Amino acid sequence: MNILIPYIWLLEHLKTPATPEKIQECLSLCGPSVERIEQTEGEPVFDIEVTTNRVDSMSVRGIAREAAAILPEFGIKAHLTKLQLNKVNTRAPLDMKIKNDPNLCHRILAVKLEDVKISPSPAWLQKRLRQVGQRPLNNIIDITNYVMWEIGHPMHVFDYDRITSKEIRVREAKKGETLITFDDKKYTLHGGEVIFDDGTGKIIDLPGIMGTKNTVVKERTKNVLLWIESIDARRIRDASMGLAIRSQAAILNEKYVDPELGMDAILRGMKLYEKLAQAKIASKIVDIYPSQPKARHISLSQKLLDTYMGLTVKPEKVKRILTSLGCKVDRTSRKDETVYEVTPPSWRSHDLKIPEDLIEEIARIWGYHNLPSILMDGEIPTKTQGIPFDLEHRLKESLSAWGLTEVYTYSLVSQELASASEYEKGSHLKLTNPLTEDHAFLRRSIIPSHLDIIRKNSRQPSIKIFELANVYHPAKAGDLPQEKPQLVITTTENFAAAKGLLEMLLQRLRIEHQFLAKNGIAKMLHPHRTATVVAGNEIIGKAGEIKPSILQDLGLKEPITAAVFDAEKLLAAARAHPTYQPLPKHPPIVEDLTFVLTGKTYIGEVIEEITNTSLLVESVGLKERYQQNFSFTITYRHPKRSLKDEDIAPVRKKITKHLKKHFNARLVGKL
Amino acid sequence: MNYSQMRESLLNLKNEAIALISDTKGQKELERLRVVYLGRKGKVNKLASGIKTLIDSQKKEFGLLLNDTKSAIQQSLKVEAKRISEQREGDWLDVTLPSKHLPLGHLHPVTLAIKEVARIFERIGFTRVRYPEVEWDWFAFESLNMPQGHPARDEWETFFIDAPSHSKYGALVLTPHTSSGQVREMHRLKPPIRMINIAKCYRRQQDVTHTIMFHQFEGLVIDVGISIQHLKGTIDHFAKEFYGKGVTSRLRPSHFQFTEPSFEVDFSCTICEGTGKRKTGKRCRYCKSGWHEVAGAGMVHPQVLKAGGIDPEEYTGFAFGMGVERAYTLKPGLKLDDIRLIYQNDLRLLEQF
Repeated sequence: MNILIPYIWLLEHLKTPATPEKIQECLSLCGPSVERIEQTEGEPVFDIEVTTNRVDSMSVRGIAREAAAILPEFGIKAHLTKLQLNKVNTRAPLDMKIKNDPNLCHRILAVKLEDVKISPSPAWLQKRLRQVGQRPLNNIIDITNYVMWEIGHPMHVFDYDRITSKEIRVREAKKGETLITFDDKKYTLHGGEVIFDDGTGKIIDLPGIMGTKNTVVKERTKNVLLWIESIDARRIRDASMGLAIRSQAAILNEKYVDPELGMDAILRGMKLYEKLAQAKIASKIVDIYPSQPKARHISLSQKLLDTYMGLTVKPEKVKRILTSLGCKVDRTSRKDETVYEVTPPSWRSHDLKIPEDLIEEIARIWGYHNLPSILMDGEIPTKTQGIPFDLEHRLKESLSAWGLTEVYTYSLVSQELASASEYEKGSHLKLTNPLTEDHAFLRRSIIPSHLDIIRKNSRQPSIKIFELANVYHPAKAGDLPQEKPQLVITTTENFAAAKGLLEMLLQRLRIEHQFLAKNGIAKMLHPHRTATVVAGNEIIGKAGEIKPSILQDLGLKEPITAAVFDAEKLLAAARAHPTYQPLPKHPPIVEDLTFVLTGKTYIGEVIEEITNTSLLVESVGLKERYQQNFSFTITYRHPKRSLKDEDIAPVRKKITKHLKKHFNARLVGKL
Repeated sequence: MNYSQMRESLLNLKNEAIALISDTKGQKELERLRVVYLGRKGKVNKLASGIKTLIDSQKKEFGLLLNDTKSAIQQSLKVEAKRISEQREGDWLDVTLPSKHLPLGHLHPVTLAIKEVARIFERIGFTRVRYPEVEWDWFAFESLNMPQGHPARDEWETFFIDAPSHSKYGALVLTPHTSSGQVREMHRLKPPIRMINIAKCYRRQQDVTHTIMFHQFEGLVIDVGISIQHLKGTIDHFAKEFYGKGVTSRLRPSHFQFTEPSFEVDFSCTICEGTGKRKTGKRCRYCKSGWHEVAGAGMVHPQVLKAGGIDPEEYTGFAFGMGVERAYTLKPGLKLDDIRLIYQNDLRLLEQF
């Protein structure tokens, strides 16, 4: 969270010769990060990021406290000034019955101020409020904001006379109760919010978050009730989030503002009301403080400190740093080991709880920039999860080397793309809180995302893309969804053209494979123009042209071919190196045979048939095709001797016979 | 043919060959002449076949003559070949004519970045891992010291999945950070641990520097005696390897529920060399006063070690997390300042990588 702190205002609480730039540098290295110095109304104003655990620093005085601890470590003089506050002399009781619930509210401070003169705040105060991004209203309201910014504790002011019942009762809201905040917005409560009730059941405040319209100060207000409370931080958080009221007070109060600050804040406020609104203090300060925070102490061992720091920290330094931050430090020794018994100040009681918290304080004030930088020695762990990261990358490099472009598409898709996958829309995992409807479903197929890319890049003459990413399938309750990595290759080519790439990839990965016409049915792919890719006995992928009807729906032109591989199976089938085959010692006989085949004959099956005819057939390739004439180049070889024509004549005969029998094929020419 | 006729024919053949050779225009013709005269069935061999008809003394002499003829023709061929080659050095070619080549493919910038990040950490003994993207709340938050309703959770704009909760691990979320892998890694391995987890993450946020899907890399080191100095050393190693020798890193105090102490990690700006000012004296637009905020880091919180079944009395550790896209776009000279472009999949952009 960022807070604006004017330099001049800071100097009222911090005595130091440091320039704004020097303060920026030192604070950023050792404390809250000063992101910028703005010039606002002619004065430097720090824009400071304060982490959520440090509500104590979200004020002028909080930053002054930090700077007073940090600057001296850089050799710059700095100390926190003492607050000049007046004593209250009035002994008159407060004519207001207050009924607290100690479980809901840890402290209440209240005082009555009479005869206030409402007017615009003086120029200097208005300027400061503007410098910190607050809008000045009138002196009565401005003082509450000013004190909150300066001391760090939110405060509230009621119109005393509008609480006619003269009673304030702290209670939990009931579900369905309503209130109207001072900015005229109506809220219906969820129940459980802490509210103030005037004893008649009427809600007169949403304490710690925002005042209600029925008790706030108006133009004609004469008497006010200056009020500070410490509502339980979790209750503030729930109410503020539940009602979506994110006031500055709520943002502070939900982070455990130190109730000890309350007295300083109310006294500071009273002083300002006397000075700027001619207020008369009309009662003593009521202080209901049922559960004062107990000072917990933390034991920090020298050994643990030195382990974290990687060096030995001198005890004087430990003591000096922690003391400068407001801690009490006792050095003792336990079993020959130095131990520091540390009691944090009240304003740090919620963020300093364990020894490691203290180590952070010592290390940061010492300065992380002052610590050496080294690499670990010690044993290097080698046990992996078994994911073939290198192979994944090799695959990507091959595909990109062959002219494909790698894409990363969103795992979250629109309803249109989810439906295009041909998985039921209802079978997708769905977000409960999507940011946009374009990204609401976890995809079960990557192909629709690729079609979307082709659609968006329609000016490109040809597109070849690939992606290695997860798809997500629902699992039974209690199990994580199945995240399955897939390799998807999509090109604006027909199947025949795209197949070359797939064969290259499979060969590069040294996967012995087959493209089978059977079992070719896959989601989104054309039922008669799709192949199943098999390695061993395992189906590792499907490849085919996208169904024309899907392309039609998405406004795309045919053909588009996609291959979907189960990446785990694909990579498991890959081999890192070949098995060496001795180079042949004897020459082959190579010849072409041409057959006339009937339509819709799967050539892959014909080639397999020829190959299986005899052990002498080393390889078979399709040389060319003319109409239904297919010329096959057949290579024969004997491992132990040179072949003669007599050796292969019977093989040739057998091939012709088998092809006739199984494929009704006729040889062109004579044997 | 008698001997003297044979001798004369041979002489004529030689003269004829040399004359024709010196007249040739190109390499092909020269090769044709070589075959005509010196080939297996060439003119010289034809004449040589007459040697059988000669008496012994003539045979010897004719043999010498034959060799002489052959080497004279060979020499002539060689000289001519060289002359023709030298002539061809004058041939003109337009070397500026655009070539035809295979299409150049492209790896996605995220892949390029991940590859580099993985190598840098693997070099110093880190093991790369990957953990679920759809994760239980317990791993994403609870085990990282962020119980239900904790205000620190506000910083992660988390996507929730519409699915039943786990009795022990809570709701199903899209992991908003790679830190969800910390406790999973502790469950997988006993210390020593040196993990580099690179994975997709998701947050409900979209602007110039955020996309709902992005990548992070998370380092986790747990062993006896791990100190803040080791974290600094590791971060420095990465900064120098990834951005160049001149880059330095610094740690600033920060706060995360799952680390204590916690740090913000800054790298010095490569554009203004960490000065915050350009050579012109103007403020550097690319950084905050000479630094880039790139990562969150810290010493692993004892609660997190306990959630991972590791005794914080015995072991300490550090962790850091960084956005892959953010880290990559800070590369000097890349000048890609809108992270959303990376996922728009305009091929004209991807083809630049």
